Amino acid sequence: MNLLPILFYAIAALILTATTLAVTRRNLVYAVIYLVLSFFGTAMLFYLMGAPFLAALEIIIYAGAIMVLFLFIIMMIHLEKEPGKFLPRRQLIPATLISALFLMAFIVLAGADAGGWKPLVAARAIPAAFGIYLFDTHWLSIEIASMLLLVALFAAIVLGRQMRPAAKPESEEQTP
Amino acid sequence: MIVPFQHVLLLSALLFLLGMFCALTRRNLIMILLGVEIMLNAASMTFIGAALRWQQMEGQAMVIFILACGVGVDYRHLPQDRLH
Repeated sequence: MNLLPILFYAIAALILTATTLAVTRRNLVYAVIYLVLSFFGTAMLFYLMGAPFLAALEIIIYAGAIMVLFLFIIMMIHLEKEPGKFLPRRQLIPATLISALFLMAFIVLAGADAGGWKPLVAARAIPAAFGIYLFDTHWLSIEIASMLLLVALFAAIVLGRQMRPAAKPESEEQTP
Repeated sequence: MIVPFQHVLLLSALLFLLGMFCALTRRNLIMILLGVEIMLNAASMTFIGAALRWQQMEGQAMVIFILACGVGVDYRHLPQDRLH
């Protein structure tokens, strides 16, 4: 018995469990921490499937930056509890229906493709080769993505600046 | 030899489903964004599995762009969340 399939299924079970727990938690902090666990599992899976550079990016960006940012936001703003039931029936029933439909469509589509049942051959994209490939063939897309990030940064700065004058008159009204 | 490609697809479909369920049922803006993140992650996993199946780096390059878009969306939306 090969070791790699066992690893894959163990990590897959970990990811699914952690994500399910994250989605059903009522407390946001617990949800984010379970999601960090799920992203660590995903990074291991990326490594298993031959993408060590993307595994590192997954840990650094998703688990490290985004989730910590979410944690900061949750702790910084005072969140009031969600009103009403935890999973209201008005949203639960359509969501379950759509999920069931999606799963059925997936099973039909995946069952129609007979070529996907061969075991994958393990391979690895060496980070240096991957970087050369990326900047060789996708340099324009990289530039566009960097522009997108720059615009997002500007939007964050502008929104943060707009908040300050709006917040001041309120506090002045409250103090006297 | 690792698992068949269909198993990778099934795993990422289940992950996508969980993310979609989260985005559809939760009312909190942060939880909706987390659901979107889970869905993006599932899409990345599909791309990496496809890259392994066809032995091409194209899929891995696509994951970089998914990552960039996800981060961009987050940083754009999170400061706005503080307004509420």
